[in-house]
Amino acid sequence: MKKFKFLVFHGLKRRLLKKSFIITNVILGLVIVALINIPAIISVFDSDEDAVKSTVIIIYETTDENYPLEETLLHYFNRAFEEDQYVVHPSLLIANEDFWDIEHLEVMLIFTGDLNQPNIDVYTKGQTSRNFILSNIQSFLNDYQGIQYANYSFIEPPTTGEPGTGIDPETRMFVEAIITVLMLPVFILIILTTQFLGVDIIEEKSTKAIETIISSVPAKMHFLSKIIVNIGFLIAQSGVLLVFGVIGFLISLFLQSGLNIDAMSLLAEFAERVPNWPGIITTLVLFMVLGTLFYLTLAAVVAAIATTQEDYQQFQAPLIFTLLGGFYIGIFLPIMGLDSAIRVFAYIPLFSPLVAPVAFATGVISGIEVMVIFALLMVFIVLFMYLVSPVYRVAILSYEETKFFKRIAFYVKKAFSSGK
Amino acid sequence: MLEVNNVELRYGDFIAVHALNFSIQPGEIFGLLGTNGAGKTTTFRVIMGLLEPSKGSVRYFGEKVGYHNVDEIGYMIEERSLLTKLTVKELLLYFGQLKSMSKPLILERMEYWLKYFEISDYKDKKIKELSKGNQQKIQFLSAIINEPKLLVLDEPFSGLDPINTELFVKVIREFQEKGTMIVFSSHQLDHVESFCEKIVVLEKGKAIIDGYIKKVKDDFEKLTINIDADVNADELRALPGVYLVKANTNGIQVKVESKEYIQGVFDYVKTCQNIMRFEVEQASLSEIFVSKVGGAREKV
Repeated sequence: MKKFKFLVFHGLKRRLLKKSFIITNVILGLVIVALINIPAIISVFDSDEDAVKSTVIIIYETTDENYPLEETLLHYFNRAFEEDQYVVHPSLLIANEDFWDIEHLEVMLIFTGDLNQPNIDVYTKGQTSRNFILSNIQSFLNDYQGIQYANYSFIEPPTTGEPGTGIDPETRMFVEAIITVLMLPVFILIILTTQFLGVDIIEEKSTKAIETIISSVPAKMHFLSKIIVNIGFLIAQSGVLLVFGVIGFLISLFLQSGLNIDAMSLLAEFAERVPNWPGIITTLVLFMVLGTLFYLTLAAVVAAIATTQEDYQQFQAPLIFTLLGGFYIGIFLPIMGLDSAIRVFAYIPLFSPLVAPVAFATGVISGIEVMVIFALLMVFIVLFMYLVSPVYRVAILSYEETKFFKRIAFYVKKAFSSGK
Repeated sequence: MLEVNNVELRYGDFIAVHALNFSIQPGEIFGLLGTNGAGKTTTFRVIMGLLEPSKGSVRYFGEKVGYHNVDEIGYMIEERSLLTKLTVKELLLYFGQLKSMSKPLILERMEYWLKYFEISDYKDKKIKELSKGNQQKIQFLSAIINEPKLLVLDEPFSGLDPINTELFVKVIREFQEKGTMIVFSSHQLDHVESFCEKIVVLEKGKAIIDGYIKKVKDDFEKLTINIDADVNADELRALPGVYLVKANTNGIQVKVESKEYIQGVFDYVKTCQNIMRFEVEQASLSEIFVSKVGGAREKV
């Protein structure tokens, strides 16, 4: 156990305190912070004419038609901003149900009855927007009436979800966009980690240092330590990226740019439109960890079978294609609406780490199915590790130069016929 | 002590090592010889517990060699097995800690040995920046840093100049005096002859010579006679028991099948003029090696 701890700490130290890791992350940090703040930076150079404004329609059907309600309310909405953010929509002749499809039309208010006791139909896109509008209407009514009396009706967007999925197409598109954004770093990190693991093992093997190492620690311990080190690296790298994201976000808040409102709206909208977001994030993280474990195991065995760096580069191609396949399946099949195919791929352990979270997020599979797939994947990984660790033990000290599949067959035969 | 008892290693139908037997006592140096591919490295791997024998056993002080006692063993493989991107210090710390050594102890011993080998200045240099000879020193150092009770050295002198070879020999002798069991392989048979008590010569996994060097030489009947006189080579060749006559700068070298043929050669030389030398010597280990290995190959 002492040696295992040493191998893990030594591996992590070598990986995380490497100059390349530190320099890459410093650059990455700057890029992330810059990307998050791009709208704020652009807005500094942008003219006001180009700014996209939210449009508002206010319909006042009351006896007191002479009261400048529209003008007054716009004043309330815009008073928090240096420049007006809310303007009147050019057309009033739209059907109520078209509100949801009109770009930049953020608010539609239909006042009926007396302004001392109005009935208000509130159309807003997003919870944050609704809260903002509501608080301003209440301020206005407070000033106008001395009290805040009104009868509100909050109009929700039509739900025409597909049967079984429980998610309407608009929300699904939104979720697909978000999940693609989330899956990309996951995919990149898994690729990066498998690369690091393979190079690490092949470096020890091609320099023959592996013989000295394996004479001191069991091959299985070496194998597991490499996987733990790389999962540790993945977690550390993800943490660093998250920290950069938070820093970037805090900077954008500090700058008080227009972005902070947009970004907050996005998050709030995600939370509002996808009520099961904690489940989606949990699923994503769990499958990411389990998937990394599986792909790292596969990469470790491939690296052990290879004898040189060139060999490894060649042998890892199927692994990269599998990962790439899983990523594209997760991204494109939901867009193409091939839900049955997504469901099938989600159950295939080779692809499920990348497909199952997407399938769950887009409503193709239920929470119970996620648990079943997770259990299946766990069983598969345990079996896979049980089968490949003897192969690793044999292959890591062998330098066969035969063709890949012949070599695998030879090592499998050797692993299960004899030997320590 | 280390006992290799009837060890056999098979890969399917192929037998890599056939019924190998030998033992080493504390303070003994044992030579494992053989041509390339004879099974020396495989035997070392079996001794180190990296390969499980198909038959027989390897016992280290009565116990199986395993990860519970591997910290008492030092192992230097034939090819350079160093992590070339690490510095000398990093590498020795890494390998030392894999032998369960504490950092301060590794650093203390590292300073001592680097000074001993006159490479203290390279402590913070990367392995890849060192010459082959210095890399060999570092590899040797990584095998002895834990002061092992059993030292397994696969071709320790390969690539070394005579001065460094002597340095290695001196260190090996020091370990021998401390009671370390040393098993090593080498193609340089003069070294084997100079400091090994016991040897095994492997050919295609089989031991074709086995035992104490003195006995091996005594048992080898063929002898060499060095003659400095006006002799006729053809007449010498015609004598019974003579199988080789070779002229060299010091005179004529005659090889006879056994000691009973010496008298015949001597009687012939007495008839010649200007006799300056008639000297009988045992065959060298190298001659025994060539003779036995050649014979073994012919049988195959």
